[in-house]
Amino acid sequence: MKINLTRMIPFLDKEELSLLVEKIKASETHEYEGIKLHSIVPFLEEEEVNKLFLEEFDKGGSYVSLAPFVGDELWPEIAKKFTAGETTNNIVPLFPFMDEVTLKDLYIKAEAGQIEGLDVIKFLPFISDEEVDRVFLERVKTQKEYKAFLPFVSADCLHQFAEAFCQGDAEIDIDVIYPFMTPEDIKKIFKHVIENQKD
Amino acid sequence: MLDFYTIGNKIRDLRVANQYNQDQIAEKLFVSRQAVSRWELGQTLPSVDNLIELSRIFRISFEEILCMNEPVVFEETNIFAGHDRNFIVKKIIEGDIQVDLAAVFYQFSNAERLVVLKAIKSGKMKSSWTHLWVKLTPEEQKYLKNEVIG
Repeated sequence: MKINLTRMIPFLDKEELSLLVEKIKASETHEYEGIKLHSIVPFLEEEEVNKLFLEEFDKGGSYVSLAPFVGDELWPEIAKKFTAGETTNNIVPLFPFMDEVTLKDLYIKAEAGQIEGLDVIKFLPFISDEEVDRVFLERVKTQKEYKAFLPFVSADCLHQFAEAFCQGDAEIDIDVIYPFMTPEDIKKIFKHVIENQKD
Repeated sequence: MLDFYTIGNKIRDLRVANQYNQDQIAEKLFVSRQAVSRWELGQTLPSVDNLIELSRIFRISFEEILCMNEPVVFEETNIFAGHDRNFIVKKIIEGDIQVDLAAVFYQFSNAERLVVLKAIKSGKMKSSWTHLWVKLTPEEQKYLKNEVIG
């Protein structure tokens, strides 16, 4: 009778898991008995996962599937490798799993143009609202492209634009911004424009 | 946020009901026919001035064109059908649309799933994740686990 090793994984001890990892790593197909690294990582110690992740990252292997199980202490090192140009790996799929501080640091550097080929828009779903708003406001002020930020900007931040527009700020491109505002702000803007057309 | 796709359908329905073609609407508003087409396809929305003008042409309020007082109607089997995907995701996160998240979560793209999970994780979305838990991939469970379970 053939044993289904995949089903056995949760019951393997530390040494057996390490042996399995070594067999997968030694395999040309990156699997052993149908088991790939990402199937084992939930059962490994964080330290072991970090080591595996780094190995896979450095050789451009299947590091993404290991990312959710990586300890936060590893992310600054990964970010450093990327910003130093030591790797051309795609780090965007790692964003959801990165710790807040590392992600914010990368986001600030990407916005400042210090990281080549990393689009700041890719950060938006995962960065804090405060940071999205801050960079959005900065981009509006400096007339840098900001449209892609709009679905992620907070209602409170956009409310400032509704208020300013109704107080006569003609610099605001309200046609671009209004679709992303709250119903209350949208109504306020339209009523303001209609009233002004009557005058 | 407005539902570009629903508004596009509304503009098209109003235009057809009022027996105009796209060229005629474009001419009245001094825009290109392509601009009207993009509105109807839900790719863009008319400017504030053009939308007010449309409300005059169709003799209805801007709120009606923007579908602002209409409840969001969706099918459980495809919650995104007939809507802007970003709009639906945002409404679910804000609690304006009540859905059984666990039952419809498979309809979200990988990126949308993470956006929803981020909202749950940050406390922005008030949702019971316990039913959702079994529908998550091990990666997603791990993503939520540190914050939610502790």
